[in-house]
Amino acid sequence: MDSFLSISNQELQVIWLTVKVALVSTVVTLPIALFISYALARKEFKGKVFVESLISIPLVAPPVVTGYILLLLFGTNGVIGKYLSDWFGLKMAFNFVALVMASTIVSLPLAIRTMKTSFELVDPNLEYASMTLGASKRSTFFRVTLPLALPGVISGLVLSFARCLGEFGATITFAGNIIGKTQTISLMIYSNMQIPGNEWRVTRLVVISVLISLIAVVVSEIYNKKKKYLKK
Amino acid sequence: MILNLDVKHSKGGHKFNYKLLLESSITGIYGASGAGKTTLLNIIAGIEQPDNGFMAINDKLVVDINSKYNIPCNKRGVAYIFQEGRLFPHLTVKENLLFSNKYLDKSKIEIKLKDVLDLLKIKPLLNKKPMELSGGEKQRVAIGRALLSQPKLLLLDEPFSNLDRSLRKQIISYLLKINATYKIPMVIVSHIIGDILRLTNNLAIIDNGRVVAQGDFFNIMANSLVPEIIKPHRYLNVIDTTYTEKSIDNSLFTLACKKCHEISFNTENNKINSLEIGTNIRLAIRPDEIALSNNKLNGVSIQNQIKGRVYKIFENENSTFCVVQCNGIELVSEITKSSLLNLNITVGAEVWCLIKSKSIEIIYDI
Repeated sequence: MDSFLSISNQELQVIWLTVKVALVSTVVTLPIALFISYALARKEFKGKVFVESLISIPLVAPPVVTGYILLLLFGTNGVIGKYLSDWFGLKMAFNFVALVMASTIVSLPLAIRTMKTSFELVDPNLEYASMTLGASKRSTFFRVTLPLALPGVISGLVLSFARCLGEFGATITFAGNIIGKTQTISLMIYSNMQIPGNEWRVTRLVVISVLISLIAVVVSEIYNKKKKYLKK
Repeated sequence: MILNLDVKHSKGGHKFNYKLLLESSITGIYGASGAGKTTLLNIIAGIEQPDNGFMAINDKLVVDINSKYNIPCNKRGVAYIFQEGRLFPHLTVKENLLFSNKYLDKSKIEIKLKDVLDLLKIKPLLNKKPMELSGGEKQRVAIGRALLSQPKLLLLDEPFSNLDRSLRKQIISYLLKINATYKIPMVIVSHIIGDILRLTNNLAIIDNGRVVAQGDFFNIMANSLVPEIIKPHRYLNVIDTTYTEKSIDNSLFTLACKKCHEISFNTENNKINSLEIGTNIRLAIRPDEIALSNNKLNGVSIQNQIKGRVYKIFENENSTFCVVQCNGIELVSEITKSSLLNLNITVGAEVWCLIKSKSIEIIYDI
């Protein structure tokens, strides 16, 4: 008899896969988001508005659309995927890579927007002060800008991580819902909702999903509270 | 030549055209708000790039736009003390002070942390974060941080803003000590002429993005180059002296003029009592605190009577300024027009400058 506490091995495996995808996506997101958000916050260049809009598309477009575009681009017969498959034997769709790609693309705008705001809040005058003290632009970024923007960067990563945990539309389109291979918590909840009698399993997965997100957000909040110097 | 600069620059629809030759160890940049003083410092530091022209620091070319030569900000050896200190909020005072350490050639370090801590009296602050410091403490740490980057030139942008009068005097003292100890040339921007004059008589006047006058304050004023910006009543007599003796009852102190030991000033300023004989003291006297007389006066309470000869006379609507040469030093006295006529003071006349001991302001001691 199924109860709330009787968690199955299959569920554990799905939870682990979901966390793994979210973690890997977050790690992939970090350098990309740092680079883009810093450039958008500090540099003026032609087509900046276009770049900003393009990056925000996955945030506003239905995730299924994002997944479909990924499929068109990186599917085995996709514009890029075809060559990756023919030349390097790389399969991008319906596997772990697809899960990470879908999650990263969907969560990237969230991370970029949060990090961009935190970089904009760092007084550029402090960066100038650093440079007059002998620091190069690169050194200034790592010793002044990044530490001061760190609470925002962490928040961006947590948001990105949480978004990955809940990713559904782009994932089901690009990575599929393959049990034991690409089924994440959200996909498992969806599948089990279709099956009568699996309410406990659904509830359990919902609670676990909420708990993981909550832990991430709480850790980020505790960290940010310690950085009092950013509060005016 | 400390600084030789001839640049054209444009920003936000404004045009700047600076031509400047600095030779004095301390130069004050004076001008109204928005005149372009900070932009000039930014160009010297390398924060802003000029559109055209060149710049040399200590006879070494730093920028030459024509040949696309530009030493970046972090390689210029120009330290910049900003208006609000701009300490890094995530670092402790010690970490702020040692920020530049990583970029220095260790064999060429002349200004040491210990000496800076002693000079600026900031040792007790080492483990504090900038948010825990007062305005004066922040500014002292910012000065210390700039010094420890072993600069060839020190730029100061309104270092006294947000500081009250006593803190201003304190920071001025520290700056003079630094200049005397480390011989680092300074360029200091302020919109308060009194603060600049306590540091130097050597000025560059900026108006509407241009250097409109440059040189000694009194020469600028005498030549009426910029009468609207700089007014005679803002002048300050600044004299470097040495503390030579004190009266038996410890109430009167004698300060001998460095340029001419025959001239000395008597003051009752109690601050001197704690100093050792031989201490160097800079003092300041406002022109309106110096009265003139045709003869030496007997039976008066005035402690200082210095003989001199009138060298120049300037007049404006309310006052008359007499420049009196007294054995190597010049004193500027502000008197009324009627006094000038009554005493029959003309250029070349012998006069006595009368200064009450209470009128002598002590700027610093080292």
